[in-house]
Amino acid sequence: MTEIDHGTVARYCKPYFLDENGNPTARCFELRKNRNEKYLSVCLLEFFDKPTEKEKLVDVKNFMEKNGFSFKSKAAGFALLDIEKSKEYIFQKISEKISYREVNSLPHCGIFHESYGDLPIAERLAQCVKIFYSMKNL
Amino acid sequence: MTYYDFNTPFSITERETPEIFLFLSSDQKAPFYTKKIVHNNELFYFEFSNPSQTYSDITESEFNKFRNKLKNVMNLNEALTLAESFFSDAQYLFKRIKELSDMFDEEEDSPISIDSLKSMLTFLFLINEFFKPILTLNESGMFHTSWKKDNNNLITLRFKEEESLDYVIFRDSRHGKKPIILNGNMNIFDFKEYLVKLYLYFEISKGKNND
Repeated sequence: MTEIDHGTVARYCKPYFLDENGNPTARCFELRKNRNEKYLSVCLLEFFDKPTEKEKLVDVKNFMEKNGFSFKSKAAGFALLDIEKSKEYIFQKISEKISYREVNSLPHCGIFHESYGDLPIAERLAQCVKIFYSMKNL
Repeated sequence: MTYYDFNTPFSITERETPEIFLFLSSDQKAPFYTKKIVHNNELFYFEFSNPSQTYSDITESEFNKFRNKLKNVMNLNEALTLAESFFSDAQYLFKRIKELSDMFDEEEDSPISIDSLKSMLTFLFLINEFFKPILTLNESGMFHTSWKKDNNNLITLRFKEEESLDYVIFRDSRHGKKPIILNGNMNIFDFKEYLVKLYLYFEISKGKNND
C-alpha cells in the first residue's frame, strides 16, 4: 500500500461521536474492534480537483454515497486532518508512529498505527482536527 | 486507637498535625480514614485493604441497593428510570444519554450496549458527586466519559461489560516534554481507588472526601 506523506484527509464523524457542542471527540478515531478494523478510513481531499475544501467535501460525500454509504444524519460531519502535522504531533506527544496509506485506490486511505491501545491515539488524533464541517453546511 | 483528622486543612505541616483520639464502642464501625496522615501538604495512603473505603460519598447500603436493582435491568429506558430515582442533580446526564440513544443508528451499528451503560451508571453512582463529563458513544454502542482540563490533562473512560472499563489518562510530566500516558483496563472499583492513589480523584469528583 502506497504511503501518503502530505495533504489533508477527511474522516466521517457520526453525530454521537461529537460532544454536546458539536465538536469531534476521540470517538471519531476509535477502531471498531468488533469488526476487527485495522485502520481508520479517510478520504484524501487533494484527489478532488476543486478550489475549496467545502467543494472537495461535497465530492467526498458523493464518492462515499456511490460506494454504498448512506448519510442519515445532518448532525454528522467531516473532521479534517493535516497528514504531516498529525504524524508529527502524535510522535511528539506519545512516541508512536502513524501512517497514512492508500487503501484499494485513492481517494480512499487508511490511518494505520500499531499502538498497544487505541484510546491514546484516538485522543491525540482528535486533538489534531484542524476543522470540522457539519453535513448541514455541505 | 489513634486517628488523624481528615478534615484538617492541607496547609499544616506534619509537626503541627493535631492528633485526634476517637473512642469507639464495640458496635461502632471504624471510620474509613484509618491510616491516613497529613504530611507536607500531601495526603499519603498507607492501606487500601478496607473495601468500605470505596463508598465514601454514598452509603454502602444505598450503593448496593442501586447496584442490585441495576443488575436486573434489561433495557436503556429501565436503566434510566432507575438511575433517575437514585442520582441527585444529574438530569443533564439522562438527557444526554437519551439524546445519544436517539442519534444512534442500530440498523447500521451494533446495538447500544446495556452492559456498558450499567457499568457507567454504577461508576458514576459510586463517585456520586462528579463533575459533568463529556459523554459520547462509539460505533460498538459503548459509552464513554471524558473529563478534560486541556490536551495533556484528561481522563477518558470506555465502559465495558461486567463493571469494567478501559481508561486513558494524560498528565503533564514534571521531568520531560512528553506527557505521561496511563492506559489500560480494570474493574470500576479498582479504578476509583487507582484515581485516589494517583491523587486524581478530585479531577472527576466534587466529593468531600478523597477516599
